[in-house]
Amino acid sequence: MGDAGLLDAARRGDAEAFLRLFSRFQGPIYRYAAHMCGRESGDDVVQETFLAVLRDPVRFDPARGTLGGYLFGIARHHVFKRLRSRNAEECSGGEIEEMLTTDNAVQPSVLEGLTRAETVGAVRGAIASLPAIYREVVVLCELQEMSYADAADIAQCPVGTVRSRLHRARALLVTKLAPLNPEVCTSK
Amino acid sequence: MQEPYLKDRSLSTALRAVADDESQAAASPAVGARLLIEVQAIARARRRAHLKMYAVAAGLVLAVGGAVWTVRTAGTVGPVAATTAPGSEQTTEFFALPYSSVPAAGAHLVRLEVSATALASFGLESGDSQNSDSQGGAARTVLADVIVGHDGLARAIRFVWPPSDARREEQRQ
Repeated sequence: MGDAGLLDAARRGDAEAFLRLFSRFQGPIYRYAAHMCGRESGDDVVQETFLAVLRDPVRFDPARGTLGGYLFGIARHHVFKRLRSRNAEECSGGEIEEMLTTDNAVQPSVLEGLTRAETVGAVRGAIASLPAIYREVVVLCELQEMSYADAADIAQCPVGTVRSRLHRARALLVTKLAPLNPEVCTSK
Repeated sequence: MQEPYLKDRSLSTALRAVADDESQAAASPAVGARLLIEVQAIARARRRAHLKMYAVAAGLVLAVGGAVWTVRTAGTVGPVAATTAPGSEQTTEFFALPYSSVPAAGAHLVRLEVSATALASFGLESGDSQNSDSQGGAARTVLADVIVGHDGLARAIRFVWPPSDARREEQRQ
């Protein structure tokens, strides 16, 4: 069964089709949402995304993009709605930083001799501190390993914009992680 | 040039480490459970909708079947709608006669004149206008179509007014 068939079946109440769909996409959507607006919001965004899919009478058109792009598009709508309602470009950054990296903030003195887990925490904190549009391309292209085209489809912008945002995001991350020496970055 | 390259490579490695670290991160099982309940609710709603649809379809079949049966039965014994085609004769609906319940394999229509008093026995007005005023009393007659079975028994009757009488009747109303 193709993606469109799977989605149609789930919308008709086919539990097996839904579970296949859910198990395939809930993880990536959760991670995207958690990076964008916090882990507890991750659950909510996943739920809202799939509820919207189940209740949305508009059919998914495979000719217009992938099912993943369709689902991420819905998730993104909910993510940015949350970000707007919190009126916080920084909200997720502060939230995630506080949640994950309070003690691992990128500070030269602390980063000396970090373990791999600590490095991950520091990088995660640096990502969380990025403005949302840069954070988004890092999450999609670097962490989710999507193509620029797929990321552009989700972010609703040209591929060139994704490239430039990613370039800028990486530069910001390098700056934030400057004290982290290459040996630490390549993990211990 | 080497430093930016190393920084870039280090960043990629660090990002890869983050991605690996959270590759198993997922929504809580409660989310999946809640959504599954939603899917099951959709399935139940669809089943109910299907049942309703089948019930409506069955009702339609019964209604249509009943109507067809009635019309076919009326072709021999039952009442049928009155006809009032403009410029043509006017008729009442068919009225069942005592032998209407006797099954008949076939029937034919016989037009005859009956006493105007017969109208009253079917609850119809036996007004003078419905017949020629020149005829009087019991001599007054009206036209009637009688459905007669092949067994010779009359199953139903309707009353007929020729166009001229029908026009007069309409003007009177």
